Amino acid sequence: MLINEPAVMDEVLSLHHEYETALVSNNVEKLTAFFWDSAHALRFGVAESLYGSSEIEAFRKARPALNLEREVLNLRIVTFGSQCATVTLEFKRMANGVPRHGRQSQVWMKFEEGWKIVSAHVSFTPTLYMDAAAGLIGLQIPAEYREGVRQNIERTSQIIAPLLGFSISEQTESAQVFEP
Amino acid sequence: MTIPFIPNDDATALSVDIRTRKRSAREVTVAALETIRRQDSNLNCFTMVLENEALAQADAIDSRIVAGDDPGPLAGVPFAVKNLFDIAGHTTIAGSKIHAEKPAADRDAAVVERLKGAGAVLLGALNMDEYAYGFTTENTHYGPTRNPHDPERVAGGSSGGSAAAVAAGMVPLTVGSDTNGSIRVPAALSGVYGLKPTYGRISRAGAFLFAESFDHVGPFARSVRDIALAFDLMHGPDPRDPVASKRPAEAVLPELELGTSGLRIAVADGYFSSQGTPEAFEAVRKVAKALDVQQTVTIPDAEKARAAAYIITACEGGNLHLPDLRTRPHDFDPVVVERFLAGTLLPASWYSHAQRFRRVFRDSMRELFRTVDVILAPATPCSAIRIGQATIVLDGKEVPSRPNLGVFTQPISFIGLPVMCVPVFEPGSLPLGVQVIGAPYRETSVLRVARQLEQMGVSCAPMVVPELITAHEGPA
Repeated sequence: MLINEPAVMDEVLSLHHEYETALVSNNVEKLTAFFWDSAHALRFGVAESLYGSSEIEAFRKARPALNLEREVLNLRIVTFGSQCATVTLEFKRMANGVPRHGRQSQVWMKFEEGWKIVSAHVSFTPTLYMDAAAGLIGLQIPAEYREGVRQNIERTSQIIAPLLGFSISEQTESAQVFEP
Repeated sequence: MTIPFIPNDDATALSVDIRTRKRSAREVTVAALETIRRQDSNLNCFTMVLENEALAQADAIDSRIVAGDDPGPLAGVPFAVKNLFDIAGHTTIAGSKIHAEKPAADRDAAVVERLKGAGAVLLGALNMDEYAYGFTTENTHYGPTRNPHDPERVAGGSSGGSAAAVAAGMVPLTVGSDTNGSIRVPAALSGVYGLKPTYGRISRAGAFLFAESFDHVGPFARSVRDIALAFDLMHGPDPRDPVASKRPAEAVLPELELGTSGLRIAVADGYFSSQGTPEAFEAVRKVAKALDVQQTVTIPDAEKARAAAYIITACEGGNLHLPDLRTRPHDFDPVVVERFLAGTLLPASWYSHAQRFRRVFRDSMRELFRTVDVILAPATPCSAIRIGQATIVLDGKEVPSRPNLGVFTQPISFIGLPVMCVPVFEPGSLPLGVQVIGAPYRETSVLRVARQLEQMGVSCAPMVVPELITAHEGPA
């Protein structure tokens, strides 16, 4: 079996480009057609586990076409003979106003009707609390302050640790208009 | 012709001289402006000097005196305010570049109105840490305020300009604000008297807030009677400030000379007797010895109180500035922006827990004040650090200097207790401060103790002219 035969590599690479174009333009019809039309097809998305081509298609149709633009990094294609390939990549895109880094893996098989994705998994790398919280309040932390902010939150968590260990009666409310 | 201030010229003495026409308000104002011109290029206390307005105000005071009118107990006394207080016709910058773009205030802050109403002459606005978030007045936009006792060192903060301007004799009276120590820390490091009154006692109307749960307004001066006079003039209910206490004003001045008899005084131990340099505790011992105080008292959960104050400040400060943090983070002072950014991100449970703990701590302190009237504690863990100095060694451990300057002040302002910071000098050393802490609304007790210490010579706030001490050799 030939690994990474140039002609096969070219085929898969051009399909990858087509897939990316369909993805960022949310071309649902094309995207659906890229997947193997079978109950065995599988797609693990960032938040969804889809079993079978109909679940995959239903998800595509319902998905809002927001922030689909992404930057592909470290694209890797490995072909096995002329009928099997893996496509893996890392990507960067915005999600809820926060720049996120993610990874995607696809297994492609060539059937009589052509190359199809039989299995795929997309995920975001875990977010720091800082970025998740910033996203929720519409705040973008400038790159040069990130480390300082991270350390600050860490230091604050150390300072508050003894206080969090202090149990307060359920009857105790805070003083809204404070009187000493 | 200039008539320089002499150390005994406190606001009270000046006002007497002016009202009895020994000097004119104009002469005094001109002398103060001259002192500012001479000293301030070095010390950087003022961010705005209101020369023409001050001279016009002084002339008006003189005319009233000539006409037989009494302009008030501060007649012709020059004063200045931290630049977070509104001055009608000028923009309130609060140490920031962002607020320097805002329109001018249309009305004076309540404290400015009250002091002017007593005849005081406003000379200008004073430097501070950006948005009051700091203990050193190392402001990147407007430059650091230098300590008159050693211009290579910080004046303390965030009301650094307010403390240093008094120490250097530019004006006998200034007003600052204290959220976690911003009056007491600079008063201690610059060697002047500073009063943080009970929370809500002096109106914050027209003052730019930092952390609303803790923001206090208070005076700086070189004599205890000036502090008492300024407090008497400034405190009392004000419908313009939503947290102003409705408690009627209670004049301190008539009771100032009563001495300390009848007051149960104790030294705070535990938290307040560790994590500081030996000099800081020596200053407390000196004060305690002079007052013949042997009793010690343990303030319970002080470390937790500090933690809670830290969290609430970060959350309230961060939230206040969130719109600007979203759109223009680069316009903040880089030394404070990371703390504000972090403050917007802290979990709500931390904040709520801290706010509820405030009631717990207040209740245990109320209990403690059944057995004691006045508590003594250091104001800062060390004397003034060098400008740019990032760390200090406390108890053999190297810790970040800037946040740790407030370890002893934070637990006290957390529950709004009145505190007078009294300056204590050892020959040849930099000044230090001792916190004289009272029960809520007992400013009279703390000022009586301060006055006693002043009379005994244990505490004093001499005017210091840096050019006579050391030639400043440019920025560190």
